[in-house]
Amino acid sequence: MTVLTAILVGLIFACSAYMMLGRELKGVCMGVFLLGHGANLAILASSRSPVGLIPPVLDGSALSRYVDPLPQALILTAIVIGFAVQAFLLTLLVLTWRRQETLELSELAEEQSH
Amino acid sequence: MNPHLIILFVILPMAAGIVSVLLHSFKQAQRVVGLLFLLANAACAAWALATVVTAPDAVSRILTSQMGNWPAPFGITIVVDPLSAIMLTVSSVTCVAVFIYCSTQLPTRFAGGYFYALFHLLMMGVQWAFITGDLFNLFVAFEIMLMASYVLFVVGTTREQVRQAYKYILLNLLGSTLFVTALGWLYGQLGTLNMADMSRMAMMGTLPKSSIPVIALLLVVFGGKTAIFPLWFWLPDAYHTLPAGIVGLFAALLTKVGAYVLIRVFVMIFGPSQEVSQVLVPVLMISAGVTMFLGVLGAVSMHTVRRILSIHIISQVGYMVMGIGMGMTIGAATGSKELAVAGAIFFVIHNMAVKCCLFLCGGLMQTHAGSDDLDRIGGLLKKAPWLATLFMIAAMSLAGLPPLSGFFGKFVLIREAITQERWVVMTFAILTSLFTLLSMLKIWSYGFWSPAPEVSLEKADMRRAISEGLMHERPRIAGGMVAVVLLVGVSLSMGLGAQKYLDISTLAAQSLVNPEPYIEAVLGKERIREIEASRLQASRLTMDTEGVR
Amino acid sequence: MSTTILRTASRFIVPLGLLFAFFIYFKGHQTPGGGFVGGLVASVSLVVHRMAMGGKSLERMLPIRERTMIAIGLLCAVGTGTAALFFGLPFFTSNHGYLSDAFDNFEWATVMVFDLGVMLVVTGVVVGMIDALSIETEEPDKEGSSR
Repeated sequence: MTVLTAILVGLIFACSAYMMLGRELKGVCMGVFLLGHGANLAILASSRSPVGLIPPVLDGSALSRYVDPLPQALILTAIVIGFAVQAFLLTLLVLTWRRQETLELSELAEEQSH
Repeated sequence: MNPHLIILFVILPMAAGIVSVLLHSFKQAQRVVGLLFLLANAACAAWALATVVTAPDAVSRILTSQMGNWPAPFGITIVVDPLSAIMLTVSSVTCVAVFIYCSTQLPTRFAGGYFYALFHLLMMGVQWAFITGDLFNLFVAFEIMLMASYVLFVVGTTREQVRQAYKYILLNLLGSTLFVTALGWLYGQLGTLNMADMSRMAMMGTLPKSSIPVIALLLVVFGGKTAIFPLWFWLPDAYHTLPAGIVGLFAALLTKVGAYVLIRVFVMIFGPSQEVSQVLVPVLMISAGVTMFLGVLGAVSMHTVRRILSIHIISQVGYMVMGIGMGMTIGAATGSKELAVAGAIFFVIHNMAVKCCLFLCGGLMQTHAGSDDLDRIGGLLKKAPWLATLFMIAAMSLAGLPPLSGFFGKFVLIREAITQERWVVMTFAILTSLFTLLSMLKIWSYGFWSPAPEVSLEKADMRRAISEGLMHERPRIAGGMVAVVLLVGVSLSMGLGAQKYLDISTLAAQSLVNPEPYIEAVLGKERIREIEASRLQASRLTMDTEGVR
Repeated sequence: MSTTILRTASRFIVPLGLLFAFFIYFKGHQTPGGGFVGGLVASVSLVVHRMAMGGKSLERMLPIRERTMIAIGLLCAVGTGTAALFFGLPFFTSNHGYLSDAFDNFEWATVMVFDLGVMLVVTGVVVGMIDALSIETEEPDKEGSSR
């Protein structure tokens, strides 16, 4: 399972890196969003089961049924933050499109010269 | 003082932000209420500093509060130790000055809408980062701060600003993703993200070997935020497009939070671990030297006020990193480490006030002359003699002329470099200082000293600057001057009362280089006994092996 | 987007959705649920209403603007945390107890006020966000207000 997840994380990172290297802002933004999901998956994969570490609320008898809740809390927070950032970036994209009528980085750069 | 009240450093700016949103259509009310909140915040910070400094012993110098009464390391801990207290004090005073500047000088194109709410939320993120006791909350605080900064970056955008904003936002998002990944891995390795708990592990030498790459990854993340070599490329392009008030705020807070986190994480948490220091100190020292020198070379080559100052931020970060590196050096005397870290802390707070002040001065120059391109302005010495005087004080303080504040920071750092026999970085530090003086004199001589150039602003340019609110026929700069005077006052107090500030910085450095009191304050006495027991065991082990030999 | 089927269905979906959102919110103290999820469900039903009846209708339906909703929600959340400070306890320390038999021994907790705040914030954010983004698709020729 861990190996599969690791491969999946690698694949997602590769895809997002490919997208981020593009010249078009929409794709770049999508690449960054994808990277966030990859990171969340990586955290999930690297969290271990709490056997041996006694969580603060359990007596240790039913430990094998539980997973460590903290990485999931981390991921949840990261998702919420990512949600806000994505909404902001999308709005910015819409506004840029409205004002400049292009989302090509190179064209944005050209307009800067005059 | 009730230590639970330290959460006020988060509540106050947040409440100010909420009130600003509710008062959305009443600009004047937002300004008044915001200023009141900021003053209350500064008063709280001064009070916390006084409590921390006058406390009788090392453990009681550290105020802790466990959120929701959940004990550390399971719950969220917030901590104000001397380092946090001094950072909070100086940053809150700087924020008051910037707020006054922004509410009087900034054109409505920038200061409309949610500007004031964002200002407070940015501050909330920064202060949260200063008082948090675990790395994950640090991440959340960073995100709040960055989110506010993204929006401030794009309000009232020009085309150039939009393009740079994308670069800034995307790079920071990348940094944040790396940060959260590193945190997940670190948690997987250590089972905790509480700063005191990690520091305890580092002291006991129980950090697993495999956690060192993750810690190095954290250096990459924070290095990117702080803009150290080779991760500084985003900063010079991004900052110079912003109006002076906003860039003053960013210069005072954003990179300095990065520097604070570098001190906190690498000196306090992982500093006690030999393995980590072995890997990181050479990296930090090389990066420090290159950062400061390349930064200042860049600054000298630039020709507009904001560009010079922006690139300068990078160069100044080099000094801070140099102090941090020397504070982690294995084998150096504890006193020398403490002094190096104290120098770095002093330098951070000095830089907060002075750098911000210079940006605000640059903004006022632009208000007078319509541009901040050094080729097109001049003669401001006659036009604005007071501004010229204040600029000169701040600039010389940045360059490090005694008895101004920059001198003492550099003096302590360079002295410790000599003690630790780090000749190369010391040479770079002194050279950088000279070039800093040169770049400041460049602004002085072109902007203030020389007569106004023949090729002055063209009429069309002038009209555009006026219509954009960047220039005024008869500039009203009283509010801006108040802000600048306040900041110059802070800088002068650091120069003339350097001993007092250095004492506090040393106090802060002591609790960082030896984090035992911090661990005791957060985790309780038993954990300290564990550390002592493990140390005893280790010394016994070495004795045994020696006996075998 | 707005068809007769959707409009008719939305009359049932929206009230049911909002009711379900409150159910999740009350359920959330000990079992899965809570303010965040409740807020998301509530905002989904509001968005359905928006899709069916248009943005103007939604504006008329909501008593306050989204930004006021967010601000009030944040005030609720921070206020609950701050209340503990007045009892000399750390920020966010919560208290709980049980209502009488008449209410089926309902377990109340101060966290509920916090959760209500979260619900308001989430609803405000999501509805406001979708409102801002869908201006583009609805009135492409109109220069959008940058609220």
